[in-house]
Formats: sequence, C-alpha cells, structure tokens
Amino acid sequence: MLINSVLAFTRELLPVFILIAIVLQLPLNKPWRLLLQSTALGAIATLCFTPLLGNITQWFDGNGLELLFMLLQLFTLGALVLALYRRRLGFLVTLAISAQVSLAGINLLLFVLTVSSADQASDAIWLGALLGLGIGSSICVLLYQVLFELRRFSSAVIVLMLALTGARQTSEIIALLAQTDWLTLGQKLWDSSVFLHEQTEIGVFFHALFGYEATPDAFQLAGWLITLTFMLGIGSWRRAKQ
Amino acid sequence: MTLVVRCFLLLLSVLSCTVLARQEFELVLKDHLFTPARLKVPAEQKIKIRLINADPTPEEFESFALNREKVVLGGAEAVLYLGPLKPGEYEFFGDFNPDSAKGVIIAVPLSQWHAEQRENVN
Repeated sequence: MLINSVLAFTRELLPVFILIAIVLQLPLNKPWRLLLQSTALGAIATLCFTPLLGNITQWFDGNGLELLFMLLQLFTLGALVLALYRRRLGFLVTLAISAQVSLAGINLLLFVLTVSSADQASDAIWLGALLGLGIGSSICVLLYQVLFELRRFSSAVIVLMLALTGARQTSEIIALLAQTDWLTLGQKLWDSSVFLHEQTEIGVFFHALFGYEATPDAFQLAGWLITLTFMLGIGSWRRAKQ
Repeated sequence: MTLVVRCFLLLLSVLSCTVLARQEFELVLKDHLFTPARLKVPAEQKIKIRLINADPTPEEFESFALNREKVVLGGAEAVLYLGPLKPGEYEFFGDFNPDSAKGVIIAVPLSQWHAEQRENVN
C-alpha cells in the first residue's frame, strides 16, 4: 500500500514539479507568490470538480473525464506557447501551473478515494503523499539548479525545456483523443520498453519531462515533433528579435 | 436533394457503420480483480471494451502497451476503444491496485479468431 501511494503521488506530482522548475526560470515578478497563488487556484479547482466527478465521467458516452483532462492539457500547452512571447507571463504561468495542479489533484483524489477504504490506509496515504512530495520537490530543486546554471551559457535551454513540455502536452492530448475514439491511431512505430520501460523510475521521469512513450504512434510522434519544432521556432524568432 | 446533403448522409452512414462494426467485449472488475484476466480479442480490427467496475471504489485501467489510461468510478461503467491491434499480448493493470488488478488482452490473428469462433458455435 505504501509503495503504491508513493508511486501514485510521485507520478502525478512529477509533471507539476518539473513545470515549476522550468517556469521559475522565466523573468517573473514575485515568482514565489505567483507559485503559491497558482497552486492554491489549482487546488480550489480540484475541490470544485470533486462533487461533479461522477457526472463528468458519464458525459460524452463516458468520455467526460478525458475531455476535461484534454482541456487542462490544452490550457497548459496554450500558456506555454504564449509564454514564449514573454508577455503577460504571470497570468500564463498561473494558468499552466493551475491546470497541471488540477490534473494531478483529480487523479490523486480518485486514488485516495480508492485506497482509503483499506485497513491502515490513511497512514500509508499520508506517508506516501509526504514521500511523493519529497521526491517531487527534490527533483524540482535539482532541475531548477541545473537549468539555472545552464541558463548562464544560453537562454535557449529554457526555450528547449518549454518546447519539450509543450510537446509532452500534445502527445498526451493525442493519446486522449484516441482513447475517446475521436482519432484512430495506427500501429506502434517501435517498442523501446525493453531498453526503458515507462514504469521504471527513469521512464516515469522522462515521461514527465518530455512525454517519453515506449510504444509511440505515428500521430503522437508527429504531434510531438510539430509542437517541439513550432515552439523552438517561436523561441528562436523571439530571441533573434531581442 | 443537394449534393451537400447527400455527402452528409454518406458520411453519417460511414461513421455509423464504423461505430457499429466494432465488436464489443466486457471486462469486469470485482474485489480488485479483472474478469476475464486474459481477454481474447481479434487482431487487425477496431474493438470496444466495456469496463464494468463492480467495486465501490474507483479504479484506473492502465496499459503502457496499449497507451491507455481510463478512470472508472465505483459501481460505474466506461468504454474503451481499441485497435486495430497487431497480434500479440498487451498487459494491463488497475493503477490503484496494481498488485491484484492485472490482466492481459490477447489479440488473436483474424483467421485464428474466426476458426475459434466457429469452434465455439459448434
């Protein structure tokens, strides 16, 4: 139970912490206040969704939750693309973090609802949450420091990280579209799970960092590449203009 | 009838045929166990799996091999659209109870699938 709790909290919180480590590299006004505000906003949104989850899951022939997740991923993607223009950064960063916190919050809420019925579950959940938060925040601090050092050499690193995070959102959206049957995916292009399975620690980290998929589809890869190229293009154009 | 209306009707019929053509399978979760734990489906065809969660708590159907992640609330149903799959085995598990809720979807080559169906009828 404890291991499952740690895994669930780490896996859900990792994308949020990675996003925070990246957006904190942007020239923000009062970044820590912004961080607290957006986290609180995401938590409030999660609590607002809680009583509606039962209904939401039944919308659109049982695909309501996927559509909600897609919307939150789209908000994040849109905010990251617009953040490359370096305008209204505070609002965009708040939007991206709030959306990701809501996404993680809903998944964790469902997990807690599931496991809380088991004996001695509350201890395991709290300890799992604490360890998950600890692992996530440690990775966040490390990544923040690495990016901070790399940024001294070239600010292109931050553009690359934003582009990778954006590409991850596109890949997730395409997977959700396939799940709702709004997009038919073809055969898998390759299977790299022998070398790096998505369930391993590094696999989970890479999935959160840039959307690593061991068995990607052509649509997913194309969407990922197009988003990456598009965002890198905007970033380069913006840097050249400055 | 205008050409636009005809095209629309044609598109509608093609879409409905596509949806209707999907063979439907059932996967039940009870006491954090999937039944059947080994679900045989035809390969190279679009299929529809009805996930029935008979437990009072939510569960998340997760499969890395199938790139699927679907939450089913307690006492509720959800639909999972899959395929066309290559022949082979695709593992899945319940993300909230990975130790007990485990299973495999076996995509059987179409010829073998039809043969097995005929055998079952006889």
